[in-house]
Formats: sequence, C-alpha cells, structure tokens
Amino acid sequence: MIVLKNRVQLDKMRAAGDVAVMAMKNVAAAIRPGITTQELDRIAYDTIIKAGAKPNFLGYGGFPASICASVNEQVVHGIPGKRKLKEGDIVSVDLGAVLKGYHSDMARTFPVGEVDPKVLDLIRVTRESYYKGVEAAVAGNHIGDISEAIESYIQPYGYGIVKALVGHGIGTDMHESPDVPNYYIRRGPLLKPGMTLAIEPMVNLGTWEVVEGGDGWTWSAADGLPSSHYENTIAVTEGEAETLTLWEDETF
Amino acid sequence: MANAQDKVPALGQIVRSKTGRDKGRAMMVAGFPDQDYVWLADGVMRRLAKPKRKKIKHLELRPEVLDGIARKLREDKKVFDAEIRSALRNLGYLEENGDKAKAVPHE
Repeated sequence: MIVLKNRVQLDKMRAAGDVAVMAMKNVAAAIRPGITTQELDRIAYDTIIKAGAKPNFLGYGGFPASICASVNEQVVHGIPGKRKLKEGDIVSVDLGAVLKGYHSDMARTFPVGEVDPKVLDLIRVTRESYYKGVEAAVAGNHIGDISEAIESYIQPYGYGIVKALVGHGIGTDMHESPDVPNYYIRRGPLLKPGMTLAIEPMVNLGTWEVVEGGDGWTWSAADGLPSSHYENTIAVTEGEAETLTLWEDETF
Repeated sequence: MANAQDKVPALGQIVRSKTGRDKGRAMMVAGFPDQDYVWLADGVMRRLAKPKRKKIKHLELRPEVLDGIARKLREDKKVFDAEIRSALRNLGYLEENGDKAKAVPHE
C-alpha cells in the first residue's frame, strides 16, 4: 500500500531529512586518506543521536551500523570496519535518521584524495541521472517515468545500471511501497502529491551485474570495477518534487 | 539504504519456465499484463502475436536482457519473431529449447 503524507507528516519527514543531511555533512568533512569506515560510522551516529534522532540503519534487518560505507567496487550496504580509506578510493556513504516516527534516507559517493577522472565522471553521471529521475517525479507521471529518465540518461555512457537493488517508498518505515527501479520495467503506480520516495541510482563503471558478499550485506560489482550511488528522499507535489534531504550548497 | 529488488524481470529479459507444458523453455519477457504476470514469447512456440501469459513466480530469471528488442517494444516499433529467435540462438537458448532442427513456420 502506498501511503500519501499530509502537511504535518511531511514536516516530520523534513526534520528527519535535516538530521541525515547534518550527519552526511560531518561524514563528508572527515573523509581523507587514512580514516577508517568505522570512524565515519561513529561520526554519523554521534551527529544523529545529538540531534535527538535515531540512526534508522542500525539494527535494520540486523544491520550492525549507522551507515553503509561501500568502497570502490562495493555497490551498497558495505559494513563499516577497520578498513582505512586510501588516496584514489571512492566511498559511498548511505545513511538515514528516524525522528518522531518518520524516516529519511540519503547517499553520496565521495572521492578520497585524487581519484581517476574516469571514476569522477561516473560519480558525476550518477548524480546527474538522479536529477533526471527527480525531474520526472511529478504528479500525473508514473514510477516508470522516473526509471526511464534515469536509465535513458545513463545508457549513452555505457555504464552498468544496477538492477538487483532499487529505490523505494519511505515514511513511517524506511522501506515502503512502491519500488523505484533505476531501469524501466513497467509503467508502475501513478505519482500523486504526498508520495515520498527514496530515489537512488546505483551505477557501475562496468557490468550491471552485482554479487552479494559473504557477510550477507555487501553488494559488489561482479567485475570488480568501481560503483557509484546517489540518493535523496523526495516528496511528490503538484509541481516540482521537493527534496526532503536537502543539502544546500552541496559540493559533491 | 537500497531495497533488494523483488523478483521482477525486466522487459526483454530471458526467463526459463519452471512449470507447465513449457517447463524448461527459455523465453523472452514481452510485456506485463498484470501485477504478478508477464507476457512471454520465444518466436517459435509462442509468437509475439499470441504470447504466453505466465505467473512471475513460475519463472527462473536469467541474467540476459535483450536490450534492442526491449527498446523497440517500448517504442511500439514492430518486432519480428525472427529477431527473438535469432537473439535466443545467439545466446544458445534456441538449441537448449530443442528448436534448432524444427521447421519454423513462415512469418
């Protein structure tokens, strides 16, 4: 069932979104060669708790941390640990908060120091494809229009669009109906004002195929080439979609 | 945090039937009649003009997607059964289906 949110509920989702943005900003500021993904997790946890919210990833389906930190070929759901980031790595950070019962969810891929321009292009195109998807997220369109906008933007670059994992509805649960695939499957549900979605293209430099790792969480590109992720929580309105995890003056 | 995709094939994806008289046959997803169903065509036993309606849960999803054909279907362009046959042949599925030797009726 797709739940439409009223004005009061959207206010709560904005507040949860603001907490996620704060955490993401603090994590972004700390990223440098030598830092471990565990330390990034700690920064996010502290920020979210200090804001009076809870990290909604922690314990979700048994996930052991507050952020997903997915390095290089890891696509999503990497578990933070003692791995040190090094010059030339990229790290995808995915996090969210739950505040007064409402969830937020966002992700960015950050370069660590100097990164291969080819990989920076991948990060840029992933972000741009997200914005193409959001442009299509207007009332009267369908979920499939978002998917198609993302897919058709990425295709000319020859990158692999991850199919095993998809965006999702979000609200009082982190994962609600409907699924938001990043490639066209079908027209899907009609978009209505008050629908809240996490739109999140996951794009691989090489193949679209992904494999799930031995830890039961980490997804990686099947060919071991780098992968990029970009996500915000948005609300469908009568006009342009509203970003609920709004990071103003974002530099990534 | 991304959601693991429910088992939904993409348009143009190759699937293998797990049940019924077409059990074991590889076919291509040609459309979506309903929430839990797909249209299937292989260009031989099941033509695009009369695709098989089948429950998604009765299918095994294969990794291959016939992108070119999917694009045409999406744009409502004419797709010939021969295109599906040739794509399935290239991937080795036609032989697996046992259709190679069979005489193929005229278009």
